[in-house]
Amino acid sequence: MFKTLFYGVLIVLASTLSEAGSSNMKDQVKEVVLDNGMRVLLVNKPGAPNIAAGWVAHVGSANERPGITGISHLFEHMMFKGSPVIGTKDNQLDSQIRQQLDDIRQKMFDEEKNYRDQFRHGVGKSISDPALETDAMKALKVEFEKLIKLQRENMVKDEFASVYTEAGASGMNAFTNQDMTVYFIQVPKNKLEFWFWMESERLFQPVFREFYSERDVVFEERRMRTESTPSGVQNEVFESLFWRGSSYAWPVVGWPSDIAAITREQAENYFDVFYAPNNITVGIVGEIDLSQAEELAKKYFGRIPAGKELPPEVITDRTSQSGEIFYKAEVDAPPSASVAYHTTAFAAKDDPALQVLASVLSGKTGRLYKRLVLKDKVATSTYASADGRKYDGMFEIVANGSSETDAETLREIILEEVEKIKVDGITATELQRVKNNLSASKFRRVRENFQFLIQLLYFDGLRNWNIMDDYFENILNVTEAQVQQVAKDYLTADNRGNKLYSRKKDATPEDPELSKFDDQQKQMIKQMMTRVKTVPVDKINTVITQLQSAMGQAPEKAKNAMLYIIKKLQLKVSQ
Amino acid sequence: MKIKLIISVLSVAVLAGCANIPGSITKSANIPARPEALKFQPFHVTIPVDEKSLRQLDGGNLLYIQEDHSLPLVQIGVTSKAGWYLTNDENLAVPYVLSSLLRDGGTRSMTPEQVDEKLAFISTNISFEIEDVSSGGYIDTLTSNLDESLNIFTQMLTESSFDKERLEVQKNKALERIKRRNDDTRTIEPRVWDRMIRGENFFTESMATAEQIKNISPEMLHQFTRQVFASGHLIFTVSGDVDTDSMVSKLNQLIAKLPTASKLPAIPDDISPIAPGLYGIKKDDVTQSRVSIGHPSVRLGSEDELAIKVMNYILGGGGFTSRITSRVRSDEGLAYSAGSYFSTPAFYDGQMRAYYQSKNGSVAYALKLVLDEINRIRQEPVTEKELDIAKQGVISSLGNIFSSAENNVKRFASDKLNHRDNQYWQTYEAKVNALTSDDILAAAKKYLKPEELRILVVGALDEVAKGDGTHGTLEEVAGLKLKRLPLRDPLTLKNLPLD
Repeated sequence: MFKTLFYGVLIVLASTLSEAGSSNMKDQVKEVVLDNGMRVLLVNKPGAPNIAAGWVAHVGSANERPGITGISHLFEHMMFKGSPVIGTKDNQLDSQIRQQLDDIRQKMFDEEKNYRDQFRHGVGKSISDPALETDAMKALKVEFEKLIKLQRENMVKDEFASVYTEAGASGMNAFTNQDMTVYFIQVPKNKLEFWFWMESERLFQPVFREFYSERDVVFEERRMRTESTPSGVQNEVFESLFWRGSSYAWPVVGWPSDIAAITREQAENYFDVFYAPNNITVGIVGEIDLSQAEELAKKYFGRIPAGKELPPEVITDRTSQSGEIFYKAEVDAPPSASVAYHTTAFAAKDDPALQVLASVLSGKTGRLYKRLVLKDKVATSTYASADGRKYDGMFEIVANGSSETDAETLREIILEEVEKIKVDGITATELQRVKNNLSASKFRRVRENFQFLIQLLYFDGLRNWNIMDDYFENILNVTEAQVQQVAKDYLTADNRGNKLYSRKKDATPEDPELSKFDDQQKQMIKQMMTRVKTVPVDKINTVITQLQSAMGQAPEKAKNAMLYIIKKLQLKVSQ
Repeated sequence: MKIKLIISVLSVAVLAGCANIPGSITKSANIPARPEALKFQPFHVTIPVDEKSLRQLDGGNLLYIQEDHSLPLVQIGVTSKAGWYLTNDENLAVPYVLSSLLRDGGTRSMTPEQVDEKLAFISTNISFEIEDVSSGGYIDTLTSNLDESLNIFTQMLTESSFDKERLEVQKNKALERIKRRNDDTRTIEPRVWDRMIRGENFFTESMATAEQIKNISPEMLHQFTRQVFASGHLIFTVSGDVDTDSMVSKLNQLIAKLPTASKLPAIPDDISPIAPGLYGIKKDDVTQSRVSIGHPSVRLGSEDELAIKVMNYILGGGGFTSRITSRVRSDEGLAYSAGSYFSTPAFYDGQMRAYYQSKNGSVAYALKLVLDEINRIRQEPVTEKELDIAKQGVISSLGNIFSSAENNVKRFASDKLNHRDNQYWQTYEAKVNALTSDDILAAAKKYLKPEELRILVVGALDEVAKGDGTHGTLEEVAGLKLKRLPLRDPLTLKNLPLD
């Protein structure tokens, strides 16, 4: 009965979707290519008072190299610092101060070379250890601070932001990931030309003021997002192990030693190559006149010269793992397991089937939740994701466990579920459910201007916005056999990395009743409770009887632990 | 075509020669040197009138509805005036699981699995939430599945079965969540801060113990659901691809199945903040500590609400354009996130809070900068430029608040709940524009109270206390003695010993 109902719904759904064919991206987006190579995507979507506008620079941490890791993200910060006319009272003076600051900073770098050498030979706790500081460095710092003071007096602080705010704009922000850097804002619909002025200005003649204090902000961001979170540092280590040998092996925020050493000259060179208009795609979504927007794009962005050289290709690819990776760590969190496989780049041939596979495993109706949370009750949340990046991909399955379980148990169950798909495949209902959701998301993802814009820029950052229709269509055409095949091809042991977390021992909040047991007894109780979790409720009484009859022969130490377990099981039955 | 290409290549070459020369400003034809020189057609966000979207439903319930046929989607919400404040010692933990169980617990005619499968298959999202002074249920569905989705939603509200297995799953999840109470400074800080500002006995700060979660019964869930989702105090919102009359009739059918609401008790408003002072929670394994600085403040509807908003925008609410962000972040590089806000709940006193996170050694210096800014805005009038920017920043929020049919009706509902008149929005822009720097100074003097500040530091206190060696220790900067607060056992909520 239920199955029949499903197919009835499916027919209704399918007919709804076919009536709304105009939701194709290619019908909604007008692409203009400027003479300098910049691509401009325009969408007229009447209604909202604000226009969402932004652009993607086709550069992320994957374009970096050891020594300048984190420069793409640092750039994201620097792009809000203004231009010769925005952010300063006297541009001539500002230029001089910046040059002087760079000169001093160069001398400081030279000093730091000695610190680095000393530290590597066992002197000092780090290269920033005050004990290493020379008199020359102290003098340079004083001079540096004086110049910073002068620079501040000549600045119009954060003028880029205030000029926008005064014009009624809101939500100015940006993000960087491995493959792209995206900038965005919302402006009132009468201020389109204002937006063109501002964005073309910062691309045409950016000025990287406050370069050195902004690096400190980036360090604070790293402390906030990575170092001072329950598992941030450990996640960074695993990612780096998993992606070793590829350009995804370092964090987007960069290695701390690199962030500290990036120079403004390196930043400017990076800008010239990666922020050239031929490496940028602009997007505007909202109530706009398409021809007027096209003219404005030509007028404002057209003044920016094309890059002198094309961005270098990302060459380095990872090599085969030739074995399984295990990373075990203690964190301030309950046990968890993440099982990750190397796959394939975004929108590659097998990506659609991998996306379906991830959906079949995820969500309340996904296999992971049903098994780990509902049936075995060893996890509190689960998900799978097919993370197709520009140059490579990762398929990740995650289970966040309950306190009584351990990461190894979670991993074993994940692998069992993977094996089932490899052997038996997925069902027609599972496949259709994924496709129905994808079809509905076709409308949901264009509901708001901002959401629409980010999708366009994101697709373009990974490949090209114009594959969007085909990308979703390809997923709708995936078959059960293809899903089974990608599971067989990619989800293999020597293509796998395992991230296994256990809670830090001294931080485990435990049942107060457990405090009377020693470590050995606690371990026994934990293992027993984990196993019992998988026993159906109606079979628990049998387990209780077995435990009670075994108690007679058990050593005294084990008896108390068994009594505790029996008590917990009886409580469970009564509930 | 060829000529055009040559010209374009030439202009590219010329421009390329000018770019990136320090100090060069290239003037392009017809492009003004500054953006302020551009002229624009005037534009003001049209504030929708709530009455035009209002429909009276049966039983005294209300509906705000706006049709939008641009996409085959419908969004429905129901907001109840009942919330967490209705709990007592016995059922305090019910909100920890109720919102999930209403969605996942099954109904009289559908098992939990059938609900999950059906909703996933027709791509309908249904969710619930229990908040401090309100509760809500939401549907996001394709138009074609509206009736089916509304039917399941109605069953969830009126015939929930709160399946025992699913109840156990949700209890376990809640228990695991509370075990994490002391894991992360990002969750410790706001929790401890709110307790400091409102007092640990205030209802918003009540936390459930493990025992209370274990004792949740299906009967408690049924009882609370009947109390919350009862006809008489509900406000519905609908937007999207619907017909208004037909929707009114569908919702009246839903209402007919609901119990009738009994009179709700008054929402408590007896906050009892901790004494002003410098407080610390110790968590040594972090490289960056988190800081909150503030005191209790006004409620929604204060006569100075807009002056406070503009004043706070300048102090720390306006992102890069505000003083705290500018000093702490962009001048000194001491924090990634630094700012301030006033929260103004409708039924009890709100709070002013400045915040930042900084490496342990620079926490004290950053505190000095924030305290300086709080004092400065109370002593000197803000500049006209700052005032203009802040006014525009505050006014620009209108474009996001009233940006779509869905956002409009949501705003109408929350205003109704909080007794905010639509006239507030109709006159918002004019009133903000009328504010002067004297108004801002007066608001700062009246609503920023340095002598009442509570300061909370969560992190590596020993390191933080020392300061950076140049700008003073934490206690010197604050002018206060640091008092350690204990963390509480996450399961029993008993104070843990200070080490």
